[in-house]
Amino acid sequence: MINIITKKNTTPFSSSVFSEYGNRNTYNSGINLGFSKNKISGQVNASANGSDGFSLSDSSFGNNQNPFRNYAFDTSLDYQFSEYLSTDATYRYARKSFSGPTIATVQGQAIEINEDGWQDEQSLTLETKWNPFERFNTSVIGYTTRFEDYSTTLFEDPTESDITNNNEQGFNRLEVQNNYTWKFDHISTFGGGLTTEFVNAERYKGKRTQSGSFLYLQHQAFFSDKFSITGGARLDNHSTYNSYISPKLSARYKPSEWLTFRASAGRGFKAPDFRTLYLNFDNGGSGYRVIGTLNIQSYISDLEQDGRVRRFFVDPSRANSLSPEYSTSFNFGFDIDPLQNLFLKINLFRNNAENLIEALPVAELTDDSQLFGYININEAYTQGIESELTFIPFKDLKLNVGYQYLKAVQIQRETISVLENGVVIDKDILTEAPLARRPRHSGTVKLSYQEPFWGLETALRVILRSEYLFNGSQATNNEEFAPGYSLWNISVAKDISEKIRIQIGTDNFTNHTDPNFLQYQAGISYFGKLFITFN
Amino acid sequence: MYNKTISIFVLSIFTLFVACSESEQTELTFSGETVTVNNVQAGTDTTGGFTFYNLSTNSIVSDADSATNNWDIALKDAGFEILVITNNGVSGPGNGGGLLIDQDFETITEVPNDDQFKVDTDSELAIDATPGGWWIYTSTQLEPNFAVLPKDPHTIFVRTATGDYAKLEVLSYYEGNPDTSTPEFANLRTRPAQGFFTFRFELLEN
Repeated sequence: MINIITKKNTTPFSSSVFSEYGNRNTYNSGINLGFSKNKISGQVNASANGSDGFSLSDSSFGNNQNPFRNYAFDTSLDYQFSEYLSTDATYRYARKSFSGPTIATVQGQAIEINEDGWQDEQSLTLETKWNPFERFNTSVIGYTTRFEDYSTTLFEDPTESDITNNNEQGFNRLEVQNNYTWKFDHISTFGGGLTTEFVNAERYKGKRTQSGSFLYLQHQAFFSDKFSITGGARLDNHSTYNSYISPKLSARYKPSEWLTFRASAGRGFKAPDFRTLYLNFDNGGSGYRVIGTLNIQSYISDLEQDGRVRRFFVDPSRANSLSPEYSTSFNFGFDIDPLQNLFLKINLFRNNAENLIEALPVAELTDDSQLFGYININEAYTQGIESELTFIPFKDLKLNVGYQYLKAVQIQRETISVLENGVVIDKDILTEAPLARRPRHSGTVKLSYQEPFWGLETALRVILRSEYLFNGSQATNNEEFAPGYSLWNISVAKDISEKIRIQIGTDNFTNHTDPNFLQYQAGISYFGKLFITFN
Repeated sequence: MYNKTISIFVLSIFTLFVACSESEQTELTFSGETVTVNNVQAGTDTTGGFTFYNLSTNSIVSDADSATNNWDIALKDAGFEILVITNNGVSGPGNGGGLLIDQDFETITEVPNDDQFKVDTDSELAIDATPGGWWIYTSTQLEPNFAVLPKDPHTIFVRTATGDYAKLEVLSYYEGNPDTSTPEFANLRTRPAQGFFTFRFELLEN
């Protein structure tokens, strides 16, 4: 789902353009037009981006990222009927297209194939807000989205017929939300909605649908300026899975201007959505494929027949069915702001999950790409600390540090027989293994410097990740750890005038690449960017 | 702090003393002096059934002695079952028995009580012959795929035909006890032949 941040336009007419160009023929350009007159305001955005893609390994055929061309268009319109009633509409269309070579082994022979495809996404949101009484407001939100993808595999050999794959997916939601502010300043929120989903995939010969409904209730109680408690619950009904109630309770305490404590606890539920069940992300040239739960069995047997599976990481039958995920989470944290130039936010979290839905690598294919499927992990937990620090040592220099310590664990329980004092007894043991792709330490460091003489805005951004389990198989004897890494980006921007801004920069300037574990990370990139605002 | 260290030290000495006196009560303990046996080919239905083995002479016993107390364990590759039987019950005339536990071979010093040993019956063998017993089949779930690997950990206790005790661990089911992490082993064309037991054991003679 894409959330579009719509900024209400207040000037009668505004427009801006931007254009960016970098190595590998990477480009990104766009235009924004906005208007506002009396009760109507609106805006239109259009953008195009693309790249020649990249390949990290000279020896293997194919690309890590195939050449792609993307276009996006969005528009919004807002109409103010009166002070108490307004409505707005937002529409978005985006197309992504790619093409590139890859390799397949057919009857023991490696042959070159070409994969082309596109993905289209459209969405429409309509929202009406009404404020009929002083303490009550209501809004009705309708949201509909359509997603379609198409890919075709062309063989060099003209006698081989092309393979095409076409899927269409839709999701609709209608929601009503009401807020009531009590005389003693408590706020109650209640609402509900309906959802429907469909998927139309070539391999199913027909449409699959599922639907659901939800109701929620929340009450926010303010006991003083310093202390508030919020309690709420949500009921989800689902056409395929059981109904589920998720309660949540949170509290906030602000003993002084510079200190705030927060705590919360809640239960959660996540049903497998249509994307996880039916859809295939089949862009083989980009280094990976993600196959829906109900497709993966036949998909793998087709690949096996073509001799394209090099090895399995987990038993593929584990990716054939999915149950909903349940979780219980606890949070505790504080914000501290003791000095003008120092801000620190700390949050401790613990999340216990049952049937955790994970996208895990199921197999490695002969073209070096990985095949992912969705797998339930019976029991898992994550816990750790998130922290955010902002420090401004002097006027033109600002340091932001985000750091997370994360322990992400899957739990296996089994009963083993052991000998104690000559007698065999059954002992329940619990083994903990790391969850895949979750580094213990991760962080970003951003240093911005406003150079006073030339007016240059310099920003250095570093992304840090520690070592992590790459292959998520529960098989403890073939764990594969990816090494930790850092990515360094730097950019310099200058406002030539009030209306023109230029920026140059380089991403990943230490040229860190890793064809084994970071298949989608390109090497060093350079770019130049121009923004022009017309008013 | 100093006092605390001393008291922990005294406590440790005491624990050590208690532990020693307890172990003295047990008649037999394994010392860790093990014997490794390489490439004993299991019998199959086509070769005439089991391969019989005597642990005290550390040698293969002829099929002709199958109805005697001359053998302690017998091995058979039956496809989906890999049999390790002991000389008792429906399997032989001896006073043998077997017991399989999920504990590391090296850490085991104690001998199970006599009543813990099982005997082979028509419906159940003392030592589980199915996958998940003392061995696993990797199928496509583990690497290397489609391989029989000894379960880690496992220990098989054997009461011999004449009533001695042994602990035993199977190390490999492939000819030459190959390294199972190599590409040669992963490749089914270059993988060594299966049905060849490499195992280690320690025998305590009564």
